[in-house]
Amino acid sequence: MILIIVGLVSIIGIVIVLWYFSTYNRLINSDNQVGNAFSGIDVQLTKRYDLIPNLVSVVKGYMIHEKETLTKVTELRSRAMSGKASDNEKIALNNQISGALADIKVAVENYPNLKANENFLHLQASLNEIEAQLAAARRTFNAMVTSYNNDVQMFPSSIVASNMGLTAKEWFETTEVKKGNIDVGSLLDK
Amino acid sequence: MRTREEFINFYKNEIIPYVRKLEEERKKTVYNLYFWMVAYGLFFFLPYIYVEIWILSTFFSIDINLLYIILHTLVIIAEIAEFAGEVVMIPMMCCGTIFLLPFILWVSLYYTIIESFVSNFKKQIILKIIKFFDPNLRYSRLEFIDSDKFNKSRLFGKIDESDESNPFLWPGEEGSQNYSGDDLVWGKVGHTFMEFSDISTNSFSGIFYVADFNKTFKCPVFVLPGKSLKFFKSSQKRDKHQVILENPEFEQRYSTYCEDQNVARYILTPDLMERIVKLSKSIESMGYTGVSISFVGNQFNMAVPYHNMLEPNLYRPLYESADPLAYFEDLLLFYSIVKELDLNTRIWSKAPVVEAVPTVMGKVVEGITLTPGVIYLESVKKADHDVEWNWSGPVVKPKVKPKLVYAKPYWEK
Repeated sequence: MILIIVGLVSIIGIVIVLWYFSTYNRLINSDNQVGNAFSGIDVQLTKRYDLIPNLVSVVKGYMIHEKETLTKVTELRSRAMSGKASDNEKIALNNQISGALADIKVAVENYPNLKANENFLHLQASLNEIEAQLAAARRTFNAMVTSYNNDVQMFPSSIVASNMGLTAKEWFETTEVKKGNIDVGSLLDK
Repeated sequence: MRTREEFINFYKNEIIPYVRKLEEERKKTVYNLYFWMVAYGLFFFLPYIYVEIWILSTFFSIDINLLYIILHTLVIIAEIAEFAGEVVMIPMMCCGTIFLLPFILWVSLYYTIIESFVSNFKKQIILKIIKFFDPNLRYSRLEFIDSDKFNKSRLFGKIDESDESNPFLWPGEEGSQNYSGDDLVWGKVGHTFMEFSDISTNSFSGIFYVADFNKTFKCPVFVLPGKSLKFFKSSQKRDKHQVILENPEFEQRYSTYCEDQNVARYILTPDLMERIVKLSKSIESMGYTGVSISFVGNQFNMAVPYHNMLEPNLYRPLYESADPLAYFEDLLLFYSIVKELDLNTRIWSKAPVVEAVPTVMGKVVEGITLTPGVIYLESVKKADHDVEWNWSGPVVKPKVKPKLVYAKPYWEK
């Protein structure tokens, strides 16, 4: 009788230990995937940093009223690239860059000569490309974060996660800043 | 884009006179068919069978009942052998041919009798409807999408195992045996080259559609109906490469597979997913499900298990109003894919193909008017400055510099 109880308890114990380890591994895996997805975003951001100086140098010859925006973009870029920024700051800075770039894109409509410039057209296509890649990377990141957060917050894997000190992560959101910065009305007034 | 009303007007004014003429021809064809059927049955088929049975029962002393069983067994074996492969097929064919000969002869006789009607129908009605749709479209009754292109889509065709860009798909065992088709429609819709035709193989029967995709990408993306194991080496491989996307309606219909999650999302933007769902709904409303899509080598491929399109119905009067609208709907569905999926938007780094300059062996020939159905050789200068050879029809990349080829329009043959 005692043997049976001991046997049962040890079987349950083994099952729990096995479950613990597999959950532990799954959490590590999903944490790594989030990191991996973030580096996917980083690749695209770096590409965009490389593009900005070219864009500014082509555009500034034409744009008279947007000098301020151009300076702002350059400045934001050097701050984001400095390496001092944390991940969250980086996201915030890049949101501002996206907003400023969107401003420039709208403003281009006022300069027909610029719109016909071949260099600019090429840069614009590259920028659109990077933006599309960035959007994809961001969606991947958000999908990974969702799956990671489910693991971290749902019972019973949440027990293991809290033991490991893992907490829920934030999504990469961009839209508000981007939308907030485009003021079509003021552009039309010019 | 033409509307249904425009089409009905066009049909009344332009097509009806031809329909009258063709209706006469149809009746004559059906009459011929019945006549030949009776004649063939009485003077060839029955005597043939009689002589065959007489020879077998007299010289080989085979019981008639037994003969009946053997005959049927052979026909069934021949069917099975077709699936088993050609090695078994050949000796079986030799045995089976004696019994199948009258049937084979009848099938070829049947097509010979209806050929003239079908050919006239296609060039007098279908070609006109296609030209009405878009004068830039070209049509060939007997051509179909190149089997290389079909295989490249990796949806059904044979997959090259040595191809490293595609490590997770099972090399198609079925391949594209008995590959055939007809009714190729091709041309440029805006910036986008597209083509579609009826295709029939062992693994697929329906309409196959290929269009130039507006983005470049490094690995293939598959959008398949449901969770099919057919395409994958194992369920682990399948699940590992599955990409879960945000659109619930899309996810309900399709499973998406790609090695790189970013690539899948780069191609399948929320907008494109919405558009694919909308397109699927309109295909479903025509009663067809199981659309498979792949994005491979900068091409958009779509396989729709669909009825054989643009065929005349021999046994129904041509006046019946349902038919022309059905042709219109079929064409509209495939013609509008470029617009529906927004493939003409070329704002990304993949530049639109510069308008083709007609050249003959590298020399620009000015003032050539392209005639539908004629194959010209063109060189298209791409934006990235590499020159790609292509035909005025489907784009091909020959290994050697191709010779100039002329083909007459089929209706002049």
